Amino acid sequence: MVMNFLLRNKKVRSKFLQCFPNGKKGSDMLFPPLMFIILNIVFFGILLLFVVKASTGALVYEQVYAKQVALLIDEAKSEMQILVDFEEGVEVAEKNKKKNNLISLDKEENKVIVNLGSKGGYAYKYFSDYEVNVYDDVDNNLIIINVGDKVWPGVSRPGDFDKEVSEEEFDKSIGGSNCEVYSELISKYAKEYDVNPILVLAVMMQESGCNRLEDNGADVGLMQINLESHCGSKGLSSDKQGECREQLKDSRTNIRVGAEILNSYSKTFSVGVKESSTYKNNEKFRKIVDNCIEKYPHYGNYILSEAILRAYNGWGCGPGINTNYVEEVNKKYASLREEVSNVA
Amino acid sequence: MLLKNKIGGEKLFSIWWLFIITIVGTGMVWGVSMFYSAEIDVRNVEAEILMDRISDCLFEQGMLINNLLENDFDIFQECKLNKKVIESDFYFNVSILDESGNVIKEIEEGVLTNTCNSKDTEGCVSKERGIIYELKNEIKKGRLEILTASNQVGEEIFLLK
Repeated sequence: MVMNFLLRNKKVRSKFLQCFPNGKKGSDMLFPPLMFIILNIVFFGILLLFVVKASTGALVYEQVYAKQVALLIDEAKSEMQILVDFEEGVEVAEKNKKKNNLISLDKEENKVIVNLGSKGGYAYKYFSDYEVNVYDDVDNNLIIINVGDKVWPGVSRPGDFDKEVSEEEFDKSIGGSNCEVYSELISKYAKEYDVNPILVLAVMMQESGCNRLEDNGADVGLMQINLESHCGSKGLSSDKQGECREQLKDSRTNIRVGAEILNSYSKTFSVGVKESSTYKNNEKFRKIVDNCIEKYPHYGNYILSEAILRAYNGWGCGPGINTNYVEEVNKKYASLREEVSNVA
Repeated sequence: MLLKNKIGGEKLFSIWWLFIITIVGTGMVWGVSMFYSAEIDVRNVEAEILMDRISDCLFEQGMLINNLLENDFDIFQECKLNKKVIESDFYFNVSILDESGNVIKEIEEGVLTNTCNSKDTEGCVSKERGIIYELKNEIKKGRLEILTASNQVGEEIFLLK
């Protein structure tokens, strides 16, 4: 019907026939509109890709997470631990091939800094004057925020092992003891691995009484590094009874490895053993922990530094294991802190 | 131009088509870039949190804390606020008035910018409530007025590589 009408109308017919010039092949006639359509699709495709990329880019997420964390810190009260879902942030960081230090604090300026792989990241200030520690737990897709008082009243509760200890305070705590000789090394490696130096000192006192020759066959040196668990990693030889043991007799190496272990456990176990990735992914470990929590329920309550200390001594509870290790280190830590205030 | 079908080609691939496509492309890229690089504004939420923080720490069991009216009262220490950050990016004004509306004590800290020249504008929050306080061993009634504001703008960090 339509074609009949078109061809009967002279004007319309001549216009229509202009589109099919004599002697042109069908493919020639189809080429321009086809190209036009393809180019348009390509153009709008590129635009769409740009919009999607821009909306899922690192910068947007960096800003969102920095502000979210800063607001949570402002709202938090002392002795609080806040877990923030970080799944999308981790995904964005992975796309940008960034695996660690996704979130940090500038404590001088009270800034939360999030870097998911953009050029430098995004920073946002918080006004709260509590002692705050923030770190990412990439394995569990979480941001962990710990809030505590700057001057803590005691050490019986988790979160008391404040990472910010001044050099002066540390010197006061170690002064006069037989551990004083290791003061510089503890200070150096505590700083390097972002661990509280007084905590390292307390662990050292508990483990070896600051005797560098302490060796029970399985654990060696000042920090009593376990040969079975750590030889072959952290710059140590895999020859457990030979080279590794010798390496660990050196005070410098021993303290460095001890601080590194504390730092690595802080990333894994601060959330508490049952929330840790090791517990979730390792069946053998899970069975041991479940068994111990059944016998010693306080194992299940440890979070933050108490969980780190428990991990340092091992999560087991068999014969020969000190199930009150955390509490004993706590006491040592408390007396060291007391030393600081007495000298002051 | 390279196409054999001149008539169709000229109609479809004209200079106007290029012009329109350039305008559309540039507009979209500009708009999207502007939208996603814009600041997500949380100043109002911040001001509210600051307000809650201050009004929470000034009271104990429903009464105004005793040392608030003393000269050496340090609101930063009492409310756990970082002085440096408050002075650079925030503002608050706490006024305690007696029953007849006379100001007994006023604490003002930070900088009030143009974004907050009237109450309840963007980034500003105000609150008023009746209070009971103790003055010279006498329990009195009064009013507390708090105005808080956030002027904070976040910052993108650029590292030189």
